[in-house]
Amino acid sequence: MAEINATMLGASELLPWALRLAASRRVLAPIAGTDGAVRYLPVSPDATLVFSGGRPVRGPKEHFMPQTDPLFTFTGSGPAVALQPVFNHEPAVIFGVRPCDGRALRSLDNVFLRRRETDAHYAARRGQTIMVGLACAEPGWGCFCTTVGGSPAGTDGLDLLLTDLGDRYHVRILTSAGRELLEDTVCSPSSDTEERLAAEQHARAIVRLQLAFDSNRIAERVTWDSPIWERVARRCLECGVCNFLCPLCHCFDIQDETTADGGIRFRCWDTCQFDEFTKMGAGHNPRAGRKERLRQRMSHKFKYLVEEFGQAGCTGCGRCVEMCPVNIDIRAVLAELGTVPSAEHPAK
Amino acid sequence: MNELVEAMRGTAARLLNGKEVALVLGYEAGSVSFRTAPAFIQHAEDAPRLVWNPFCTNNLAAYLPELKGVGRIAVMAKGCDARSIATLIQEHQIPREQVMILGIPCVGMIDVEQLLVAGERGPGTTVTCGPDGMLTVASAGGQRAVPLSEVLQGRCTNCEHHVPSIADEVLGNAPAPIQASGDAFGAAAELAGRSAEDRRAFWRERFERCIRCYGCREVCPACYCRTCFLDKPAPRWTSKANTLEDTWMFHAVRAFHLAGRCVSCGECERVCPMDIPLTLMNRMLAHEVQEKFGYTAGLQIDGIQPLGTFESYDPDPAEHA
Amino acid sequence: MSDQSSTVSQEAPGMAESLYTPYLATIEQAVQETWDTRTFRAVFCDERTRAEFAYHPGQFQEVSVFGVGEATFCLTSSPTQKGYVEFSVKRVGSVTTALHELSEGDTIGIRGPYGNWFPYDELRGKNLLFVGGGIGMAPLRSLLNYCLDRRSDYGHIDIFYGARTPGDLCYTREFDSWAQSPNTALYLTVDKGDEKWTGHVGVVPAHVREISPSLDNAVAITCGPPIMIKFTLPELLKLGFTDEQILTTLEMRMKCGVGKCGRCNIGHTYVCLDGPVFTYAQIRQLPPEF
Repeated sequence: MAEINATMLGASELLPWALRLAASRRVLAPIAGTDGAVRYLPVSPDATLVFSGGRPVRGPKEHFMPQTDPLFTFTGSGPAVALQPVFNHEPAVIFGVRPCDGRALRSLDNVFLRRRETDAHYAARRGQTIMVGLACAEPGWGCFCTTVGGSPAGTDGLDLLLTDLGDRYHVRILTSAGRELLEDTVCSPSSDTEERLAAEQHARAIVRLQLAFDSNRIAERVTWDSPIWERVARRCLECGVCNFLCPLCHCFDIQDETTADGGIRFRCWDTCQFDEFTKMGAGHNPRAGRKERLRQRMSHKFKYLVEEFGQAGCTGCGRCVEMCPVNIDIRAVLAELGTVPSAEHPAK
Repeated sequence: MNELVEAMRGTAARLLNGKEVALVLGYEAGSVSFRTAPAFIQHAEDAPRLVWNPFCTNNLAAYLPELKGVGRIAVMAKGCDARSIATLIQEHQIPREQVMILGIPCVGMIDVEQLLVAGERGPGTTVTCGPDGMLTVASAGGQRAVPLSEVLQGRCTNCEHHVPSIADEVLGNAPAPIQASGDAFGAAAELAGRSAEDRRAFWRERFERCIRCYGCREVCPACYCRTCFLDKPAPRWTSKANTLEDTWMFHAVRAFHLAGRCVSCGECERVCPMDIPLTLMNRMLAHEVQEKFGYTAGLQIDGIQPLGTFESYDPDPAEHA
Repeated sequence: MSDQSSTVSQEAPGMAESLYTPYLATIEQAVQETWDTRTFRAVFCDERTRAEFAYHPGQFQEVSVFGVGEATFCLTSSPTQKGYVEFSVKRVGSVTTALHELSEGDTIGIRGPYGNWFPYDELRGKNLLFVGGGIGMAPLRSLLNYCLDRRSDYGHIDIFYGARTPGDLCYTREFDSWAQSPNTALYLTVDKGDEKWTGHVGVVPAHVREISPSLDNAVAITCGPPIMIKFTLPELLKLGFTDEQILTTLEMRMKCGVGKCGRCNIGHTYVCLDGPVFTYAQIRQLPPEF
């Protein structure tokens, strides 16, 4: 008998399903706080799940790469010091993962799993987390996933893809892990009409996303000497908003913290936009200026990662575009590098 | 507003042509109609890039300390920005004669998050500003007219200094003053009136969201320390670890470092990607400084700030509980 | 529809699998080289690690002072020296200061060895020209002592070493054994002498130019502060060395040492993975950002 690849789930079934799963694993979903701010948090019976609108500002990256991630603890001192690695992992399910965030995991996998040694801290979480995706019906104004090979209905990195049809979800089954997960809930077969409704919603979202720049052979166009670096980077404030919100930026710092009887070595998010990122002990800094740092960011994403893995370090989620305090719009920079005027902004 | 833009461009070109300044700091069009970007104009022929609209929210004073060696700089300054510049001059971060403050009478900046409602946050939305203070939001769902006064940033509804008090030139005519809808301390007062337990829960929920991006610190003109207390490894005041305690400590200490210096430009809150209402802390402390020392930040370019010195007759908190 | 490949097993990883957990080691000896540089000799606490820790000249390691942090140091000992590792620390920041305050018997952490290494096998039979400046002598010393321990494998060895002042010269206790090794010449210099200094005065690149060592069947290996490298490379090229015949080792700020934290790249090259040893030919392919 042919395996079915799509099914339907009643909207009211979703939270009970998540709560049932939470009995045996960590279940995260986009949940609104008392002031409406959305984060991926553990589900609870009174949680307000937020599936509407654009992708949440804060994505599920931190589940795989926490902002502060303990690596090991040390207790005692001298030769008796004992080191205990910390592996915070447990079976987990994340609901409401947008396609850009699912696809971003591929880039994180490239760095933490494929490049030389495996990062076991990341691998442990990755291997035990099931991603339940949600197709985007309403892209944000900064979104450009289709420009970089993605889609608001993309399936990369996901185990299931849900499409919200109002009172029910169309569910596309992508992996055996996703299929197994559905055994904990009640589904019904999808009809041709429902297939069409889902496809139409996807198409509508795709149409809304204009091509922001020509991504063809983008690596060649990210040039070292472009005057754009100096001009655009002048206004950069060197904060961490762009890279911290990015679903696949992975650079980290390693620090120690002491406790009463020892301490913890942890890693925490870092960004190539901070001045100290490459500053050496004696003071020499290869990337001492904003121009160098902006060039590094763009080159890393659209040149170096492309050359190493064949995949750009950007899934077009648009968070950096929407949240940069000084409107450094990565799409405009790339459009100018390609000497193609971007859709909304005339080439300067 | 058009007259003001022409005045900006004309003044910038004149100053650059006459070599009175080496650089003009202003605003230029952003990548969408509801954003602008800080502009660094060095040639008179680039002056037409300058724009003025209710999206010119950035506080350009933040760029000044690092531009000290550049030569004379003209800065487009709203009321709040001018107060920031005054504070920097007072703190000797930039000499008075190096800054030419081009004051802009401001009718307020738009809170874009508040302006764009569901359905308008997608690609293709445009916002245009009419001369009568009416905004037109055009999106896939249609068109909508919104009065500017309904979507102002919180700091603008409380603004008491919308015409720069310190300026070398004031561009354009002073518009009708904004009807301030509440006193500056309003929202902070409400929070201050709650129980300690309530306030702890309030801040706990918000500080737990902080991702330590330091957008708040980097956008702030008053945060210009070469080595922030946070980055000092010895002594280690606060950890880079994103624990609630360390994050809370970072924000609390930063707020105290800003007491008597913060002009409530609100940029920290605008840029925070986690919607943390940072200005509530700053308003609280500004209120305390006003009450105890009769001092408001940014209204003078000389003298010593109350928390910059100690006098034997300073009020004793124990006696004024 | 194909099953998207899953990633890793469900088993809980053990201690050996974390890239970030160091081996414990005890400081056996600390030698004050200069006013701000100390060389530490460390012995791994675990017997098996002691026996199995194997490295090549040119590699580096991450040294921990628990509670303060971790920092990158090249291995300055040669793998021919069994039972311990050595690294030299210039006091410039919090971790290096904490290291300087440690004494014999104190415990540190060591992760490594990381990076690539000097191609000592390919250098066999060649004449070698070492050009070191200041603390840049540290990685060169690893290769130099290796070659001197395998003396007959290598041809003539010229060592040019200089520092700002006589007090800034490191490894002075080894100068005699270097100079007295067969078919080996040591040329020391300082930028500025003192009342006791009777040796050559002048910058290292100028000294190289004056002595004009032979190019015949030779490879040059150089390491030092950026300004020294900047002036040494043209001298080597003028002597006739090709880009492929000049080796150097680069220093970058590092944290993880294993190509994950993203900070030590020069263009698309990660110094911790594809370096720190590079030929000048390779460096010319890299963007000028180091």
